[in-house]
Amino acid sequence: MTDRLDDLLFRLPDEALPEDLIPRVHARLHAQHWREKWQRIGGHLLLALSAGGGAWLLRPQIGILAEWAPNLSMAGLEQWASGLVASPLGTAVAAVSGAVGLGESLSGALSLPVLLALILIGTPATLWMMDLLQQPAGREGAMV
Amino acid sequence: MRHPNTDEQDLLRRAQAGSTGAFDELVRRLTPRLFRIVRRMASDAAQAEALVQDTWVRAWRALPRWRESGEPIAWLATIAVNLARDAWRKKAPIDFADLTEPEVERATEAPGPEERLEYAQDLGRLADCVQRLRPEHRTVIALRYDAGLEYQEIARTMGIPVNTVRTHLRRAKQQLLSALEAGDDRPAG
Repeated sequence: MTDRLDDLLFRLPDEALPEDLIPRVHARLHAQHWREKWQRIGGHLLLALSAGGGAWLLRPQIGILAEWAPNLSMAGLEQWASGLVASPLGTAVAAVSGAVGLGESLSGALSLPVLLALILIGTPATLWMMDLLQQPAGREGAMV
Repeated sequence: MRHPNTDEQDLLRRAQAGSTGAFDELVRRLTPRLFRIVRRMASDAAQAEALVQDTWVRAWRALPRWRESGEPIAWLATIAVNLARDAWRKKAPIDFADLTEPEVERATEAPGPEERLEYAQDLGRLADCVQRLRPEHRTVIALRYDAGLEYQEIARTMGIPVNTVRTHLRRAKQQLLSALEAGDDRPAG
């Protein structure tokens, strides 16, 4: 009887698939893709605005950073690299003292707007980075 | 031991890489089987249709987490079972009312007209009995006989031990057998 029951269970009658079910699933999925796409665009726009706002708040500190900008050029980097090869210890000490100098310059100017600016720039940067790391190859991630 | 359908796995891989076309094709191929499984579990056709749609939307969202192991239909069934569980929690008890009449053509293996009629009547009674089983028993029946999953796959799909699957199936079949032998189509619960 169990064999017969198994046989019957494998042959249980089933309801016909509603004709419009597959088109309805497709329509719902397309609406979902559209929503995800615009959420993603909106999210990126929000983060870009946040980063832009942060940069705007940092304007007064641009002078300090500009002093350091020449050091970040390719020529400056090459000079630093050759200095490192010639005198590793001296170059390292110089680099550390330079970083301390920049830190002191910035900390002297540290205020609420600067902190806010760092948050406004740091948050999108972190989220973009996380998104890049989590995103499987080829598929656009939904950041927000 | 069945081998996973590589065509469908390939479509899932392509969908995971961002191809909405591949996912649409998967919807076309697997919706009939998914509907059959879900219809056996759901209380009515409308709930089954809603469950199928929700399953596909959730599957799309879960695509990044899909790993290549087992049948894609088993993965979809897992999603459908979880959604059905949520629905059962919200609305109980479940009323299994409106499966259509059995297709008499399916019983053509029986030799004579009387046996064929009896077979068709048994199928109809059995379908009614299955509708009245407890949700977990009905789910095991749907996954075993409609989806054709192995015990291990059913266990993974339902998130329960294999022995519990065997117990559910044994109890469900005992109830169905008693109902068939008694000629009663309102046995289980």
